[in-house]
Amino acid sequence: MLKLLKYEWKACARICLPLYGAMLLMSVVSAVMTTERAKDFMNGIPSAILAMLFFALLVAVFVVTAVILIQRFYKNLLGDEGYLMFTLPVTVAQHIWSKVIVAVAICCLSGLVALLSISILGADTNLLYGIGMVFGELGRAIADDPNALGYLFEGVLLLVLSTVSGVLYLYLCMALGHLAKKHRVLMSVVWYFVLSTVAQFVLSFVLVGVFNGPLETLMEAIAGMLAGVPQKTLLHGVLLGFCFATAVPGAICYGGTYYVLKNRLNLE
Amino acid sequence: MEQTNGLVVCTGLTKAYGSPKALDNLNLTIEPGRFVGLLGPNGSGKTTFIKLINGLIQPTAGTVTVDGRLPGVYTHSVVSYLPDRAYLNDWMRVCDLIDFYADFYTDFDRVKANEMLATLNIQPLNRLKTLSKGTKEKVQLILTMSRKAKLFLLDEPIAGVDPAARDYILNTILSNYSEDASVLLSTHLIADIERVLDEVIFLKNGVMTLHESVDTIREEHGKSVDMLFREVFAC
Repeated sequence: MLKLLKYEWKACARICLPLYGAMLLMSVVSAVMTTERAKDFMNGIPSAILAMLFFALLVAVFVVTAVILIQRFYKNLLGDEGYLMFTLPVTVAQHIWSKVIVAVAICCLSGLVALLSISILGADTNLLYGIGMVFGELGRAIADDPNALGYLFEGVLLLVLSTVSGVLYLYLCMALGHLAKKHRVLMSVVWYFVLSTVAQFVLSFVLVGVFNGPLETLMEAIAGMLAGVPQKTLLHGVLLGFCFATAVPGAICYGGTYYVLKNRLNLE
Repeated sequence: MEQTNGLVVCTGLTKAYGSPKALDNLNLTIEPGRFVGLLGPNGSGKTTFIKLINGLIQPTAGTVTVDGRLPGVYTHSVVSYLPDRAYLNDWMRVCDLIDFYADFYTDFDRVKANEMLATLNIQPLNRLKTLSKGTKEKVQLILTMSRKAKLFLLDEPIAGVDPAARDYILNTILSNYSEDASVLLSTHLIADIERVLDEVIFLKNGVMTLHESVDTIREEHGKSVDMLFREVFAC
């Protein structure tokens, strides 16, 4: 498993890390070029071009992340490279998890790099001061009420879980798409839309049910039960509830992907 | 359950992609320590058979076992497989690939692999992308043959390689598999490999038409495998 992770990471890092480097470098250059004095240089044309490049690169980071996410799964497992990967003495679960873990790590890194480069671009004393204040406030809140740390943790967990679920959803679409005899890529896209529509439908059905269907009475009963619960506990409950709600579809997607790769594998 | 000591055992193995079956009710046993040629014209089900043994595709009906187990983690650890296509990461260097194999297969012999690379003048630091098609195939074959597996599945291993290297590769295959290991090699270049075969399997439109030892063929039919092949599959 660790070996799989190592190679998966290597494969992603060789594309991502240079891009991240370029992004951060670009943000530093842009930050310098957007100072007042630089703006006057040559009517500000270089600064304008740089700003455009900066945003293009920012978009590129996200596009490349998405492409790598999809390509690493599709090419590496369902394409020709699958001939190697699926003949390794490794279980299907290990394959999927190694892909998911690295994919989530790449998503998080991309997000962080984007945030970081934007803050570098806007960096001046005010911003630094602002960031300092945010962290100061955060520290104080945690010191005042240990629950805040819990909220923070639950928030991060929710973010990670939703990324995991999102990645697994894409994997499921590709796995289902590969079952088709022809036009496998196209079928993956079709599955993506079909499943999205179904999910939307189910969600809206549940929501409608919450407000005026049979679920309403259930909700009211729950609300009645929770009335006596202190607010802080309630917030924890809601956050964890959201975590659970994102984990469930993720688990379903994982189960589906696992089943297809294990029992229905059909490499061309 | 029926107990056999065959290395590969197929019972009623069938695979259908569409209406004509790619492989139809295949029953056969391959014993350990045999060099088996899997022969048949294009589209006769050779690759399908090999992919089924590897679990890369699932049988429509029937089963295949390797060393008594269905395709899975265990069989992958004892089977060394050379696919009929470029299956390696293009951007990796030859030495990366050796690390990769050594990492995943405990029976991989790094020293042997490096020796063979040196003999064939392949630089370990070259990226796969920069190598020619034939050289790539040589690298793949070296990686596959550097394992001490129980079963070697070689799908068209010599088709894209020049005749001089072909001899070297065949000798490599021969000298690299141990007594109790078997080799199943699919090809339609029969003349080149006839001298090394112990037995042959003829496949025609997914049906096994012949499974006999080479000696028997010579005695009974009084002709070489190549001639018999041309006769059986005459158009």
